This record gives sequence, structure tokens and C-alpha cells, in this order.
Amino acid sequence: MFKLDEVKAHCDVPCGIYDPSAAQIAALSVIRMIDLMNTAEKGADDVAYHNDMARYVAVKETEAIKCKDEIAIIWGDFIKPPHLIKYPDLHTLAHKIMMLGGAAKQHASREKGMELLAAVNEFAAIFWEIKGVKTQTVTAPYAPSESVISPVL
Amino acid sequence: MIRLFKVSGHSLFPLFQDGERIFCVKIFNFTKFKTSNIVVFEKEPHGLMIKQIKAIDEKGYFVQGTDAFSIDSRDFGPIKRESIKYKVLFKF
Repeated sequence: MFKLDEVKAHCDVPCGIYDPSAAQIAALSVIRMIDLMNTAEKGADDVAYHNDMARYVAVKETEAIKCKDEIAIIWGDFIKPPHLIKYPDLHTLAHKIMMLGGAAKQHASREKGMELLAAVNEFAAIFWEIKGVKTQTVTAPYAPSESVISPVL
Repeated sequence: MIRLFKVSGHSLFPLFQDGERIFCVKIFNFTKFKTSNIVVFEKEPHGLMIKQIKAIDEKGYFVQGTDAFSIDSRDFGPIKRESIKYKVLFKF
């Protein structure tokens, strides 16, 4: 009927930028590293093989930590009590991502990597719904070519 | 004298939620404040803000949100009485 002026009850830095895509890319990177580890061939050059494998493990470790960090920032800074009323399982989901991120470091299991990506995608879907942005499921245009939830921009 | 606003943000949850409408009265020289009052005030560069008065002393009015990340006097210090424009009476 009529528009009211707004008064700001804002938190954090105004216009803070939050986006779960960094966590999704990190989860895809974990899966990619696991794929590379599983397909690496131990040829005649033993040193080169171990060098490659060490790099895959190091990147997997880094990306799993990055995935956890990116989700933890959104969870801790952006998510507010009113969001938890609408999404009561959000704490459980965020904790699940923390545990799956740890498992991704501990193991070289593609299945666990996919579980991490699925949980991060679920978190992303809720995040964009809170922001009032429609989402779509798309296939990443690079290996490992898995599905990710992305905003319709 | 009377002004209606819409709250934007979560820093006063659960007292006020994002999107809630509030009924306010203008501040006059005779208006008295006490701690726990919710006030609307002007603060650059943020514009019109809404927070709760936590303390009043010679330095001014210390306003604060209920959220740990709220931007308030913990960041910009106490505000002057002149910057307080409205007192919130109730939400509707």
C-alpha cells in the first residue's frame, strides 16, 4: 500500500560479500585430486611418480581446508538465528561439512569427496534461498565435471 | 511527530526481526531516555540506524545491537543526543 523507509540493524561490514562458490570449487578440487591419485601411473621414473602423488595429496589437503574455511565463514558470520528457525538443520549440515572436509584429508576415497560436494551443494542451495536468489544445477565445465548448485544470475 | 519504519538486518534479533515494521515518535528537548530504549539515529556513513541504548553517560549514548557482529557503539563509540531522531514505541 505504501513503502516505509528502512532503518538499518546491520551486522558485520556493511554489504559484506558471501558466496559458497569458493567452497564448491574447493570440493571439486578435492575430487579432482582423488581422481588424479587413482589414475596416476607408476612408470619407470619412480621419483616423478612420488613427486606427482605428493603434490596431489598436498593440493587435496589445502582444498579440503579451504572448503571448510569458506563454509565456516558463511556459517559463523552470515547465518543468523532467524535463519535457523527456517532451516533448523543448518547447524547439523555445517558440522557435517566440517567432518566431511576432515575425512577428505584423511582418506583418498572418491565417495567421501562426493559426499563433501553434495553437502556443500546443499548448503549453497539454502544460502541462495536465504538471499532470495534462484538456483540451478549445472555441470562443472571442467574435470571432475560434477554437478554444482549455482545462482541464476 | 510519528514515523513508521521497516527494520533491515538482524542485529537486534530477537527483539526486532528483519522486515518488521516499527512505530516511532520524534525526539523533542523534553524526551527522556533510559537504558534498554530502542532508538533510531543518524550515523554516517550508515544512514538511519536502529539500536538499543546500553548506557548513558557524559560521553553520550552507548548504543548496541543484540548480535555479536552488530555494527554499533562498540565500533563507532557513543552517539550524541542530537543524532537520535526517534524513539521506538512498538512493532506491528
